Amino acid sequence: MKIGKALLYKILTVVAILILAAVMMIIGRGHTIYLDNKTIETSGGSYAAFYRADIEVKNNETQKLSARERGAATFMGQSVKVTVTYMETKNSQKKTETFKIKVPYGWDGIIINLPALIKGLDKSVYMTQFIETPVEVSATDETVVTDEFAVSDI
Amino acid sequence: MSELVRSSGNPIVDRIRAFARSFGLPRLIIAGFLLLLFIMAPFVGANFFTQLSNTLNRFSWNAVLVLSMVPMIHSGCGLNFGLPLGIIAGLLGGTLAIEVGATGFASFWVAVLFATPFALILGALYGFLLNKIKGGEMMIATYVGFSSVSLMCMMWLLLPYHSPNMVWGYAGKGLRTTISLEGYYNGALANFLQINIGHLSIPVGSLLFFAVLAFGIWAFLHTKTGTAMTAVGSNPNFARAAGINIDRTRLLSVILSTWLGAIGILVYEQGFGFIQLYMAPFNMALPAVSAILIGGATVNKATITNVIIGTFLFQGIVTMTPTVMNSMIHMDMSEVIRVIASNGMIIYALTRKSEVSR
Amino acid sequence: MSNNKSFGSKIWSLFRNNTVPFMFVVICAVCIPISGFSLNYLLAEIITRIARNSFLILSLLIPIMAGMGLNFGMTLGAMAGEIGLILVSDWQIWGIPGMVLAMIISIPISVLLGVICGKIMNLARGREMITGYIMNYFINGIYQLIVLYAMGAIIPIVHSSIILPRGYGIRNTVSLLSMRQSLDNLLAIRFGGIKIPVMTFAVVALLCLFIVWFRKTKLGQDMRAVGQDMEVARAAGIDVERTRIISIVMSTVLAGFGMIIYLQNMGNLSTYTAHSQIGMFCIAALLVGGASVDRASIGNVFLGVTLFHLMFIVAPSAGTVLMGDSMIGEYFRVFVSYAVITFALIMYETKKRRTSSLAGRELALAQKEADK
Repeated sequence: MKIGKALLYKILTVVAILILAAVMMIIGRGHTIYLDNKTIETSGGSYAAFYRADIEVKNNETQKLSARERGAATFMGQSVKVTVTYMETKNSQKKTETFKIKVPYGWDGIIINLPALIKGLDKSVYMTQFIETPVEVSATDETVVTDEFAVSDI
Repeated sequence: MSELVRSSGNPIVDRIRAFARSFGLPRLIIAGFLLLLFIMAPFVGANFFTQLSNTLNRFSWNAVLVLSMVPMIHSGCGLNFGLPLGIIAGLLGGTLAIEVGATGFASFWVAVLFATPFALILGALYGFLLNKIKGGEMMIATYVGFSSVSLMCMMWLLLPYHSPNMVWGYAGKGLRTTISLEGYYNGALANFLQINIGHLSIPVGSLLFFAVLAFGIWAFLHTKTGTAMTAVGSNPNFARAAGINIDRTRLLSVILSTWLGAIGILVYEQGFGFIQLYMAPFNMALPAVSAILIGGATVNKATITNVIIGTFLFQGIVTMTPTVMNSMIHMDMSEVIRVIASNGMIIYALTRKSEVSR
Repeated sequence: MSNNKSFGSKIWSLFRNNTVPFMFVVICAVCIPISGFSLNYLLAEIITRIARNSFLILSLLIPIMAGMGLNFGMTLGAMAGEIGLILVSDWQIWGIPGMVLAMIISIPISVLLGVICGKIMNLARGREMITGYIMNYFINGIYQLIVLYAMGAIIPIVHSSIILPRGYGIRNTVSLLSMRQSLDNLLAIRFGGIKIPVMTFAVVALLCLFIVWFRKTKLGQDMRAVGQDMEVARAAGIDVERTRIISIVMSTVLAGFGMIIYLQNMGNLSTYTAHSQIGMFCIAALLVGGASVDRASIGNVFLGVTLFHLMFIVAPSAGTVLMGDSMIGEYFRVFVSYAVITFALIMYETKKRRTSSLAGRELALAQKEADK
């Protein structure tokens, strides 16, 4: 069964490539995470913004947020480690907490409300999808240039 | 076409099959497509006569460029992808005519006069080169065309032209990318004896000019030199045995093609109304090549009829598709269709086995 | 004396066989001082460009081995790579995983295009180059059909940064910011202000090793046999048509990968123009390195990419200094690219004719001998 073996190898190669593609789609999926230090009103009560919050997301630099500020970071993959060092009021103790947040695959932008996250509220409360407001492009369509002889840098 | 068609016993079926074979499937599709466009045109609100006028107009601009393919195909030099070389000679003639101050109708003939020596010299050099590389003409022709166009790009900047209608205003030197022919030979042929009936207008002058050239080529191909040329193209061994100087005959055909290319671009410009310099001649060879192929020519066989049918079909599609397509599906896909159809045609022709083994 | 003469003739033949590289050395030697660029800047630029272009140029080697000439159809692979990149940037797959995924997507497209191209070239034997060249334009039309009309309408594209405002068709430029230089920056070494993209070089080296290894395999040997003489190869039981198609498919797939590596360095994709000139510049670079239509080595690739890009960098500013117009230099480098290809094609054809007429004469002589 020599032909069968060759066919088997071919199928195995294709399967391996498909698996590789699937892995790439998961580990390479890029997201932008927005961390809001904002007061949040829920049915269960109101959670005030922190006086200060320093956030550190995966490989990004530490960002220092005052109340009502938003930090942003990008990352690849399906979950992200966020370290928050915060002071609830001006005189309160600094506390540090680390979260591993799993994000939905289909969301490009994710908004995380920090007070809700730290107070341990439900995921549906602290995580919302960031929907980009479509930039009003000029009414005229972009003209497509298909010039075959445009000389550019190489 | 000398291909043998297997007999099916029925003479009519044989006839049709032979016709389809000799005409070629792609050609049938393109002709059918154009026919469909003409039928559709009135339904989508386009005036038939306006469309026909546009097609005729564009036919008159391009026909001479397509005609310039004929001599080289006849002598076995293949499709003239080096057409830009001839175009450059024409551009030199046109710009020089303006530079010396010729105006109006006369400037066209002055341009032809100036273009001719350039075409003869460039054509001779080009023909000499092609004789050195028999068998590889088409690829080298393409790149000779490209090299000469890019060399001329530098020249248009450097040559000492002074006419204020042509040079860049602020620098006072270097030719502009497009030069208006208003006051020069814009419409020199097209407006001559033009017939206007309602929506239909026929540029008789341009068509007449093409007819004269086409008749000239047809007559030339029936002279002794002309038949020798055909012999060289179809069977070089036979031609050599018959005592024909192959290199000289090929050289002559290349010079003739280059000269027709130079005249062709001048005719194109008088219809279009502008001279386009720099990178513009780059993409002018492919439409002309595919037009003659659509008309039924092969890599080593072409007639005046091929030129006329091909140019009409090609330009018909170019003018009709945007109008009809746009009003039917609100998408202007005409450019893409033109690219696919014309280049598909060239590929089809290249994959055909030459009828005569060389 | 005779020894001296043979040395002189050796030099002469070395020069004659490598006219184009020598010409380029001269052009560069003249233009570099005029352009006024610092050596450091030139070195940094050259390293970037070698990393960026080598993979693409290496993809040309296999069809040359199979005697199919310069593969002007490599643009087909470039288009496949671009389709992969467009999809990946819409799916928001970033960085190296994005590149890998784009390559995986490009494979089936490249294989399909390569098979079509190879089959057509088999029909147009002896005219492979011009056919490949026209194939560019033909497939470019189909590429436009897909990218300009089908994407967004049939193939789902969601991000408004990629799609045209009218709802279908891709914008003129697609930003590849999320994967910009992700391969180059991986393990990159900085050396006196010059960044050396180690990982990119490693990938290029891997391809070189593959080509060296491939030459020794059964398939590689078959390809060389086909390149030498198709009829002899056929008589030896090699499936000539299949071997030729495989060589084009390999070249197309590699060109697709090469284009992705090239574009990750550039950081954005000119949807409709990025591929159009790439074939021409790669072929010109290979020829500048001393390759010919029927013979090319890995050494030619690296010499060529260095010399060609050196000229490419210095020509515009040298033109500005000499002629007072930067456009002169830009046109000059385009002219040189075309002229090099023209020159190489002419050299190849004249050589082919000379050898064939020589063979014919020998055959006639042998027949005469036999008649005696």
